[in-house]
Amino acid sequence: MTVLTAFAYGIYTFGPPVALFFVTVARHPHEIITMILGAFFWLLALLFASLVWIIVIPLKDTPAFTLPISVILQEVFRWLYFKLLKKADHLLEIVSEDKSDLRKHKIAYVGGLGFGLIAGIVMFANVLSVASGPGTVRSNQYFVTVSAFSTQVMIILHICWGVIFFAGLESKNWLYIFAVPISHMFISCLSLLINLANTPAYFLSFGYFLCVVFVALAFFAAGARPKTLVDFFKR
Amino acid sequence: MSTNSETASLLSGEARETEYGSDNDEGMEEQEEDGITVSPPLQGTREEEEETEQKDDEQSCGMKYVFKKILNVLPSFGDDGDDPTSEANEEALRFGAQQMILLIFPVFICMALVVAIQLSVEKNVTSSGTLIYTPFDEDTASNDGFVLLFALANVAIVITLVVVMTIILVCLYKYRCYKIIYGWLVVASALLLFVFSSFFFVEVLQVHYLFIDWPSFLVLIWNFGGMGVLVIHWKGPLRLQQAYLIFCSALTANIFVKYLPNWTAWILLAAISLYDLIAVLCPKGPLRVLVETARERNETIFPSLIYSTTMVWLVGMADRPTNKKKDKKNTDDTSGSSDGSHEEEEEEEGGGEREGRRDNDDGDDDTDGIEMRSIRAAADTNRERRRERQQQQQQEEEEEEEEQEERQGFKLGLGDFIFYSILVGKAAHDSTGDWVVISSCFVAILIGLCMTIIILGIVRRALPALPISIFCGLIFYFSSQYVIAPFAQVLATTQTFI
Repeated sequence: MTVLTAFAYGIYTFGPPVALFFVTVARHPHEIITMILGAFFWLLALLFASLVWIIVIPLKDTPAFTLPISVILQEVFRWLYFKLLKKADHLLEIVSEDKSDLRKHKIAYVGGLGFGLIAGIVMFANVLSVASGPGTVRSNQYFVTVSAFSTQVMIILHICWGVIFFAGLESKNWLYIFAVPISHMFISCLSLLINLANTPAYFLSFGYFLCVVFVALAFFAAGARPKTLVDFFKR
Repeated sequence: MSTNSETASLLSGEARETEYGSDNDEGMEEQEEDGITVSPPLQGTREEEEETEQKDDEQSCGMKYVFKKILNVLPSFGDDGDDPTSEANEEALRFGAQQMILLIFPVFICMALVVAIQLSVEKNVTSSGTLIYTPFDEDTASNDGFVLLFALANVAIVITLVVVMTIILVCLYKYRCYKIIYGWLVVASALLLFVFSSFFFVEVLQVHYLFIDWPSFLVLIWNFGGMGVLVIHWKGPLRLQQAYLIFCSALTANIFVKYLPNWTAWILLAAISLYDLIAVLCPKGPLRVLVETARERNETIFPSLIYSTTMVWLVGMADRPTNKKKDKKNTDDTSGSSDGSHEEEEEEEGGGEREGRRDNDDGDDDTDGIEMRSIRAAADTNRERRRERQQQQQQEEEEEEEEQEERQGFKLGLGDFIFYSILVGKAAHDSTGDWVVISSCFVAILIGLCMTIIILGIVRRALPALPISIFCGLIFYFSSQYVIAPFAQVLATTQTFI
């Protein structure tokens, strides 16, 4: 039973990104490498954040202090990642054999997927492995459910953030550039309420709302217009 | 045609023996662990090959330019302005990226296999005893100082053993005692596939409370091991051979994770990558001697002679020959479209020649000079052969291409597979299955592998594959085990999503 439940949660959370990976990324070697690199950058950001957390001993029990620092670090590393890819851009162009305008957005999306996947694994994989175990007692019966849903929100947002942030930096569009860290900070701080206010309602409702908004924003940031969608379905 | 195909199959059979070599040895005695990645010569296109010398010179200039470019761009983030990369160089880069994945994929599978074994089987089995190579038991040490001392002593013994075995191997190779080497490898692989795999399967059965009678078990093991030895040392379907190689690496790595004392394993990983660095890069390092001997004898084409310790024709390169048909069926194959791979096959022809030219221009040291000449000679013969071939039958052409390709591509020692897997398996074991630790080790090792291959693309010579990856992995293991994992634990329990 627990194993079945764990599978359900796992498929719910990691299903979308893994499906995206196999459908879009897996066939392109350079994109797989880019994705692993994205994951590496996110891990570096997390490493520095946890160093801060380790050093500030009195605030070890609550992540409220480390949280903003971690978000800032993630955005800094996203920016560094962008810089690195920018430098390697012409190599990527050669390797991908893709001269279209969409190429840069594809790379941004792949980077976002790398960020999202590793973030999802770090935040949820251990919960999942405990949930699959012989049995656990939780004060809150919805603990794993909430974690699964929230992690999925974060993964989807990471993918969108990747696309939007890169597009913003590329075109010097300040709206896009600032939308990403601000929304990231907002949603992460909101997640503190899950534990403090003991209700996931705010986080999840805002999270899925933000998902919709940012998917739309990423859609436009990548240069698509409603007409593109119509054309796509007509084809 | 028939003779041709026979040679080709013989070659590939021998190639397999070679490949296998590393891992058995490690399995049994862990002689050689150094993996070597060898760069493929850059690929030129078929047309270029047939163009004039002058054109070739231009090409080489263009290539030099690109190398400078890569040097600028990758490590130091130099600016990227105008970029007159020629078709061929683009092909080379594409080929490199593809090869990278063809290496990453099996490494990933192997590490995943070891982690799976650790988490599902070993967790439930209490293992006692140690390998005879590590006589000092850390558990009996009275304090931390003695633990360190014991670990260092164990590592010293193991490394000495490795060095001695590698030197014996190099000597055997140098004096052309191929029969002895093959015999050694066959015995070792048989031992691994029959004895150690049966131990492993018994353990799996025990863990899952499955029952099987001895006769059936023995028949199954006999078939499993017999098929493995055949496939690895003689011939068989490529995928099956790859699967066996990966299984053997994983099994060997598992043995090490299981029986090496805790700190011995970590120190051994660091020490072995240092040794790898020395053995491959020092002018008189055993592995370098081995690689260079193979090149001097122009034996890269005959993988059996490359027997080179741990230098293995990895899955990736073996992947391409004759597999056009397979590739089409195989939709989940990471290497792109079959058209792409076909193009590359054509590309590869001119490779040796161009590398030769480049070496010439750069005025490398003596050994490279030798290599250059031989490669050039090879390229010339290739060219002639190619012309003849065009008049011959299609099938024959494919056979020869197969032969050609075995010379190309990146190679990664199975020793590298084993040590990467040991690191990840050890991480899984020591952190009792903490996914934060495991995944960060995965990412770190794969990034290290990518970096090694990129450097390989820049320096174009045999490189040790262990140091970057293993040190990356070690750094990330310890930092994730003691820094990231506790933080992630707090985040998970308080349901904070960063």
